[in-house]
Amino acid sequence: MFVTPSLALARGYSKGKTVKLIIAAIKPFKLEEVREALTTIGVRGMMVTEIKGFGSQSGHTEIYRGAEYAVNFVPKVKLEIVVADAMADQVVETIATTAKTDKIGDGKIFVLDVAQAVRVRTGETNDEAL
Amino acid sequence: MRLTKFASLTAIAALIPSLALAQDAPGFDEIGPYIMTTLLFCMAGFLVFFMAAGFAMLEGGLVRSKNVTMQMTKNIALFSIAAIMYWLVGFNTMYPGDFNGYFALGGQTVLDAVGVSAADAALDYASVGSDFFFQLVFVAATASIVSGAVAERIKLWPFLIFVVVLTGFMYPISGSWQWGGGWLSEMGFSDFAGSTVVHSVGGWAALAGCIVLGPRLGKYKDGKVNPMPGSNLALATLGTFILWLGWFGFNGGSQLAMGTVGDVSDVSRIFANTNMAAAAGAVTALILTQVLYKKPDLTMVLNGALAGLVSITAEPLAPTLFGALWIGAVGGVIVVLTIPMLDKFKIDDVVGAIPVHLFAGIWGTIAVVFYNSDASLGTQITGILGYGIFTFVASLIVWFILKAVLGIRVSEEDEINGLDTSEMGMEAYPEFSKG
Repeated sequence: MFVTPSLALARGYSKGKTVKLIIAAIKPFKLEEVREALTTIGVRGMMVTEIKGFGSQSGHTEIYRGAEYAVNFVPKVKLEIVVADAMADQVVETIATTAKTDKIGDGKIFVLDVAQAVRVRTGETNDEAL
Repeated sequence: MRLTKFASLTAIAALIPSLALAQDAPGFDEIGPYIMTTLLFCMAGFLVFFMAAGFAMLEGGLVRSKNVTMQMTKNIALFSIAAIMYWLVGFNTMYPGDFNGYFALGGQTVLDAVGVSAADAALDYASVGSDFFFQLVFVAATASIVSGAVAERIKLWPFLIFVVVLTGFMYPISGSWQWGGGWLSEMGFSDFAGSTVVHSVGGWAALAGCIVLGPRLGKYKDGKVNPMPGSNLALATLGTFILWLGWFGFNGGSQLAMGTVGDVSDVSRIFANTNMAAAAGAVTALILTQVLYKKPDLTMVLNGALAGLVSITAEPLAPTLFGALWIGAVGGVIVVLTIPMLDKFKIDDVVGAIPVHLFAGIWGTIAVVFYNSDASLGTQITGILGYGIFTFVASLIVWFILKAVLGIRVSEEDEINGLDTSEMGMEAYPEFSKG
């Protein structure tokens, strides 16, 4: 039976503390290092997507059979991590230090407020859903 | 070349004293050369046959995944059509015996009788079956060259009709001028295994096809070249290695004799030179692309090896190993420099067939004069022009007729969707999403 959030509340779960969504675009080769560092500080889940994009690095050129062509979108990895408010700063700090190479194109990190988080299996919400 | 070998074998056969056990049964000295040369043609023929697989893999790897089924279909169909056309008219048009030196339409090929006796066999040469097979795999190579250049936008059936004309008539007619004992052979033109007779002819037909067909959609836009990287460089590399292997048969078999110490040693000498030229072409392209583009370009290294092979094909016997090295190396330089040049003229050659087979073929034909004192530059150039003008003009005419009557190019939508879906209704990689 599907457990709705309100039903979960009725069953006595507390609403939980608010959470934040951290979106980070990083260099693909840094993914494993960042995952390890985040696991170490207690992050228990993340979503990873292979993406392409451009920022201040704004692409580069390659040569195929003597013809130069522009690679406008550079491959990156996008992490989406939802954590309790209290932990957000530490997560941002960890990603920033681990993914940093000091070269252009290291990526970006965005932090957003999340209106609600729900664990599908139980209906737990917000930080309890993580 | 075929005629000269014919003559020298006869002379050798006459010099060797007969060791026949009985007067009426020929001894090994009489039938040995026939057996050995027939064996050479069979072995070399198998190797050159395998080049069809090499072309298929090279071209399959360098086209995009949406056109792979079509490319494979073209390649197996063209080989099979070449085999049939060469039997029907090609072989005897190319080797007509006594003729006017320009053209004599031949009939069907007839093999030796079953269990032919020594008295009825061509003891100074080889069996008809082995000779026919060895020559027919060459014409298939010519058609494969065209297939790669015009890839990714040509319709299947008009292409196959072109193959019928190329393998049944154009290649055999021009081939008779040299290997059939025609006017260029009389003049002293020298092309051992076919830098011009096979490779340039394929290159000229491909060039005409690319011009009439036009470039792939989006290849040249706003004065810029848009690369369309191939689907599988592992297959392209495998194809190149297969071609390299096949080339030992291509050049080695073209000795056309293996009955004496001199001939069998020459065959091995040709293997060594052929290998050296390929290696030199590949290394040259590797270094040159690193220097020019800051990174080596694998597809050009593959083309470089093939250009080295084409370059040595006109004279793989006479050069020293060092000679083969520098002749092949120049071939490697030629492809690296001419691939971007074709793009400047908006001639879209998908796999680099024109630089490899035409430009390196011309170079190889000229390079004969450095190591073969019987060849003269004037005659070599006459041969290059003779083959070039005939094949290019005849190809243009055939392509234009096909274009007018059937249309040779698929629609814009079909080209974008890929020929596998539009022409074949069958994808090479159905479990992968489209890229």
